[in-house]
Amino acid sequence: MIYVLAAILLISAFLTVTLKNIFHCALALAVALLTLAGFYFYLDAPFVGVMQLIIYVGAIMILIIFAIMLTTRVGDRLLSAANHQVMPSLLAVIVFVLFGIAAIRKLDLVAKAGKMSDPIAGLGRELLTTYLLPFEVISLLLLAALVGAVVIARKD
Amino acid sequence: MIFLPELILLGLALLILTYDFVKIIPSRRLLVAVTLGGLALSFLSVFLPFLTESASAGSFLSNMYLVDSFSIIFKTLFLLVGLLVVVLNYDFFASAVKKHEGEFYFLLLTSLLGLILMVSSPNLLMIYLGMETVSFTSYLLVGWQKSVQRSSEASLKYFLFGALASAIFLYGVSFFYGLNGTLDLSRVAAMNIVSPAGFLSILLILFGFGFKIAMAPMQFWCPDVYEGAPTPITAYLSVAPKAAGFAVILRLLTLLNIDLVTLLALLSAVTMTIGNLAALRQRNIKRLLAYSSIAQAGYILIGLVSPELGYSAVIFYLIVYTLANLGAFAAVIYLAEKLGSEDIESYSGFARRSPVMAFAFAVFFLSLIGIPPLAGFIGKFLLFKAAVGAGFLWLAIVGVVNSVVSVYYYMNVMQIMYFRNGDESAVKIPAFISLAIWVCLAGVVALGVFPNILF
Repeated sequence: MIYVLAAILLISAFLTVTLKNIFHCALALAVALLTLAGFYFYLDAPFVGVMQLIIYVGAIMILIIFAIMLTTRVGDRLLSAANHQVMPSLLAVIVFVLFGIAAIRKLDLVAKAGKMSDPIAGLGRELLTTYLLPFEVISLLLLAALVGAVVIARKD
Repeated sequence: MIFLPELILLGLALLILTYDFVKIIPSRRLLVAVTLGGLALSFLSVFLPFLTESASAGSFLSNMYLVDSFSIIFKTLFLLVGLLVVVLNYDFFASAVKKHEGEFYFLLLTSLLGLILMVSSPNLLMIYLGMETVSFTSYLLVGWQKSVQRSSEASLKYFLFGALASAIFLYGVSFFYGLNGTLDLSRVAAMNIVSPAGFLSILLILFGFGFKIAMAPMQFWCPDVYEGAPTPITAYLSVAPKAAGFAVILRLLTLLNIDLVTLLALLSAVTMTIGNLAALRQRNIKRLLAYSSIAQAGYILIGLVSPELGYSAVIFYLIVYTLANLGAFAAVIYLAEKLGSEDIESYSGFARRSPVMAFAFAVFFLSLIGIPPLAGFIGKFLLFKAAVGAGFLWLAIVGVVNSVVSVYYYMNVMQIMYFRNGDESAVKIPAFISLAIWVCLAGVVALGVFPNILF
């Protein structure tokens, strides 16, 4: 099962960066994000899986597709997203993949997190106790990003 | 009481944002005065625990936040940088940017808070969030001059590189969590970095921070971003995130107790050589300072090879570098406004127009080269001594050779200012710029003559 998911993820991710029509790229990206949600369900993290579906597949993909539809017409002139650095990038990918395989093969992952009886309630509790400071800092980060984005995007 | 500096900073940032929104009394001066006053208050409150002698060190909020001498040193440095950047920004903003000043200071203050969070936490999650707060605000501040195409381009470039660096960092963090079962650095007794996964994890985390400190091979963004950004922001980026990046690397190395000296020595040698060689050919002063800052990052990396002597040398040099670089940028901001050009050639004969400014510029450059009796000399001496002490004689030699190479491009600017003929009418230096220059000048000279005041 996981190999099927992995194969779909790799193929759709590859198509996202190689397809020439930007709308097709977006669709391939949607498949990749959906498959990733599948991974989370498979790995016993249903909450993260649902979040992935709601945020990435639900919200972000729709935004991307809207943006594409508002700016270009489907079937407009096709621009390749790739440049002419195929060989160097291929080399980098091969080195990285080999190193990654070497790293993961002997990996002794620690399962210290344990299984929570009620993951969502536990998550909520953790967010407001152990992870209180990061939780609050994120709100500041988002406020800053929002204010800055409005200023940059606004017409003077 | 414990979080007073952070809370004042946060309150100030929100106050500035609200003020800009409401504008009961629309006044630029008031806005800058409030920003400076709040920053000064926050700066002073860092020292408050020393006066009341209350116990203030410790870890808080489930070990997400540390108050220790290490974080206090960097907090002081960042708030000082914040004060100087706001001072430098005053005249620049009026002539070059003009719009959305309230939001500009709000983002700058948020960025400072991000820096403080970054150096005050032993938890990789908090470190990441602090780093992202700094990054997001920096991307926006770099692109603040919307009418200038270079500025927008720099912002986009910085964003793309930054997103890549974040992804690399997070990938490393995910390996780290998988191996140790925690993100808390202080809870990992000794990390096994001999295993490929452990090494990969630390390597990726290191490269993520390499982006912030402009370490090779993550230095490509540096010249374009420095050139395109509003100059006070360039000054800010060249010192503050760099210091924070080094602070986090120091924390990582000390808490995890890992041995990366050979890798760091190689990265250091490559970084300073790339920076210095590229700087030789620059004609634009901001690009020159960008490559110079890459080279300086290389020198500072030297100190990381020796835990006993090097770590304190790194902190000392970071402080010295901050003062000298901010001073040099203060001069650049002024010159760009006066001459309308960032070209080094346009500085011809400036020493005759303003001897004080040219002299200050020369002092900052001499400190960056490392000429006694200035602070840069002591800093470099300590770094090279640490390298020799740790058995990295070759690295110290590379450092010295690089310093000699750097003399050429720094001296070239001074030679153009002092020995070329140009316009000779005297000029006046605005009060704010000269205040910033005097503060930096005093620091560079004082730390050179009495380095003990920091130890």
